[in-house]
Amino acid sequence: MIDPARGAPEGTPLPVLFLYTRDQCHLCDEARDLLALLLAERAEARKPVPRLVERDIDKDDDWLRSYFETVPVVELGDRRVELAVSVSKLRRLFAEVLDGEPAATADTSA
Amino acid sequence: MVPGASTSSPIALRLANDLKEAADAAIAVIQAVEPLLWNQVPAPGVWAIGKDAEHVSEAAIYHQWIVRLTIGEKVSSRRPAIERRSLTTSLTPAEAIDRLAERTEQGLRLITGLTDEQLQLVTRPPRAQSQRLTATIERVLIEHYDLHRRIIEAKRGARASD
Repeated sequence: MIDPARGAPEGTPLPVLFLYTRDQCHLCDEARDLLALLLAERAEARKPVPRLVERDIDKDDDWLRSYFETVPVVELGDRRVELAVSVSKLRRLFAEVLDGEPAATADTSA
Repeated sequence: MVPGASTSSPIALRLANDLKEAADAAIAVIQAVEPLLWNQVPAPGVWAIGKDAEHVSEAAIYHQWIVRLTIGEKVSSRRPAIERRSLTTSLTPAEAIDRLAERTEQGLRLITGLTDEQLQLVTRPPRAQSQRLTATIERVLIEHYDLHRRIIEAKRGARASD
């Protein structure tokens, strides 16, 4: 069930929003800015706003192996967007995971 | 029209005009920010509006470095740093606006001096799909002002409805 006041499934804790980045990565700058915009828009619209946690892939061998070629990677719940510089894809991810909208495509699946 | 424009490239002039429009719009939004909101952190880990304003001027230096590197000017091989950890700014609104206006002027001078040949160069450091400098100026330099203007507007809007 969707809580109309917050949009998230009732009783479900909000998933953390992870952004995998690395130093000197210009696409990571773009992803960071897009996420800032989307989170600010959600706050303005009184929608649930997940906590953003940034992870430097150079600090963990598993992250480095997994995301070396695809940073910036955005992860929310069990969904993931690689090379995350498309505002429409990120908007869609938020809508599906946080607002309970049906999945449109499979390309954001983890 | 961008003052002092001397290039013969209509593309460069168009880019400079777009940059000026984006900067003017961003500055207008920053000028309208309520003093109480300037350094107020909207949520844990989220930048205050003043930090967004400072960031745009800081990023302008980095973005100009991309252009200078691409056209072969002698610049540091290390990209200019952007401070992201602090959630607030030490600048007053007036200082942030002055800094942003000054760095925008630097950007306008740089862009208006570009030739058509330079605008066709592949951007350095390499970007996705071998992006040409024209596209980088549109997507990175100009869009960045628009994006943070929208962020600031959304943050103001969120606080206004509290």
